[in-house]
Amino acid sequence: MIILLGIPLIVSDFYLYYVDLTLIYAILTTGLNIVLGITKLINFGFASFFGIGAYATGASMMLFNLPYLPSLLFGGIVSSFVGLLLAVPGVRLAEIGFALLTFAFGEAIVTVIGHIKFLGAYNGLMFPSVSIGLLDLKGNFRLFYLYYPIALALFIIYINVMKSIIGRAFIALADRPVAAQSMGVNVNRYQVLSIVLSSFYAGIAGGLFGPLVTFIDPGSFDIMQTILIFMMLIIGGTGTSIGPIIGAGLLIFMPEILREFSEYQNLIYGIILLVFIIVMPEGIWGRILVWQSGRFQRKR
Amino acid sequence: MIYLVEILISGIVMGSMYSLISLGLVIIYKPTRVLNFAHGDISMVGAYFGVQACLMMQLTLGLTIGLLIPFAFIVGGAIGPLLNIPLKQNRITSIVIASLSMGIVIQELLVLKFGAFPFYLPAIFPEKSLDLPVISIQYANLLIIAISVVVMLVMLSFFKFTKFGIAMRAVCQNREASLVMGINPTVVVAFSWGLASVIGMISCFLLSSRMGAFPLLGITVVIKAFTGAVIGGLTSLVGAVFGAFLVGIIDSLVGGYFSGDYQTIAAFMALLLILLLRPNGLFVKKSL
Repeated sequence: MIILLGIPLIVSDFYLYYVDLTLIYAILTTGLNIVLGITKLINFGFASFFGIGAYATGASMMLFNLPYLPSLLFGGIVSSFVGLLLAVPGVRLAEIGFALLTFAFGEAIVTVIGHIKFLGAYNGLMFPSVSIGLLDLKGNFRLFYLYYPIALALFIIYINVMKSIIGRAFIALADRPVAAQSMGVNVNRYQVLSIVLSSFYAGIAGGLFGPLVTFIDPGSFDIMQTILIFMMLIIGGTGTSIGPIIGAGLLIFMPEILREFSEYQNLIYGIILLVFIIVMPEGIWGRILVWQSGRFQRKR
Repeated sequence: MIYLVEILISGIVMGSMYSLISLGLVIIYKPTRVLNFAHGDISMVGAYFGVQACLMMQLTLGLTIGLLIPFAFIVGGAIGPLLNIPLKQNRITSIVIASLSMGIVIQELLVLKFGAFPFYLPAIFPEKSLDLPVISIQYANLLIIAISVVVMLVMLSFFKFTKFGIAMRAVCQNREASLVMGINPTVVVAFSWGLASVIGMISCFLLSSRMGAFPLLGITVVIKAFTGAVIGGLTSLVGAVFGAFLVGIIDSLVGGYFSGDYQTIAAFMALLLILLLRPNGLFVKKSL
């Protein structure tokens, strides 16, 4: 993992942008994995939490003149608070109900942000320039050294949460809700917790997204964005820890490789997602894990 | 006051179109337990088909709908069983995501073929209006309501009285028992998708006379149809129709007194309220 710190020295500035983007999307996809992959809740408004994080971070820097890192945390907290508000009524519903609620929420939040004047409404928001202490964080090179430790920390937190009692409760309630309940897992409360945690990841990713693109508008956090994140997770492998990172990397760099077909990009995305769901629902990393365990069993 | 009445009438017109789409959602949901997130996009194909047919062949209203019905039935009947493959893995998440991605594929195909700009329907609806003492109602609106109500009644009576309708209801109630009785669930699934697409496409075609055919029509409409179907409890045909009318009226009240922009927020609020207060809808006793 320390070797990866050398990436910016090898890669050109142009591709470094995509490396940075991959890190952000890896955080996002890991966040989505907590709900979609582990507790099996469908959140179709996931990109709105990404957007809320980005806007909240920007707003706290501009309105309260907070420095960047506290603003980033603020963005994550606002996003997880909104997640909490949506989750408390949401988890009382069946799976379908939650999917519907978040779907409508995602559409509504675009309109809401589009009418907030000081956030630039539909015209978008120029993200303020960020710095830590005296160090100006400008350019893909410096941003990489901001993103990489945060992404790594969030990844390690994810791994550890999944190993803790919370993570085991998450897995249990998705697998056998009744059995989990009888073992003393409060299903609704843990579902809310998983949504809050995943919204926090999305919010942090949003706060990191701002400085990289320097310009955010409500349209970039709509249902297409959600689909993109869903695709990353499903192609990489739902429920696995490495899968989200693989998926994020693949889907960030794929448009670069397929640049001639940029017109067909969304179409290709849709078809790939459909094919993966029907043919290989466990995703790339999931498939590798299946192969490995199969080989292991045969040897025994 | 007159303004309010006009808004209510326009709400009823919109509601009659939304209710057809809600009805389609319920028809698919009942036997297959698939909540079809692609329904709006599939229905939108009908709007494009109808508008293009009118533009290119100068068809009349009746002829276009006549052409639309077999086309819609084939399209829906083909897509349905394809999306039901993930059903065999018995994962609700994968079915929902599969239907959503199917919707995206359809939407993008339409963008590639026709571009992102809206197409408007030529004047195939009568342009006169019925003059009542206080207000006047366009004949086009009356016609839209009439077509929708006829389609609705045909659907409801189809479910109630025909053998196939009974078979579909049997599959909803008990899949295994209906298998024993010699009903082929695959055929039922394909048939219900076909039916749902027919009424969805007719509805979107009618809608295109109001707002044109554009690639985001499906997603705009489907949120409202979902809200309507949830108000009705997702498994009740009558409930879905009622819910969609309610959504149509709320929609035009919001659009008339505030701004059309707030309609998505209103739909979300209505959905949130109904899910909080009556999670099973107004018409269904059983849980979702």
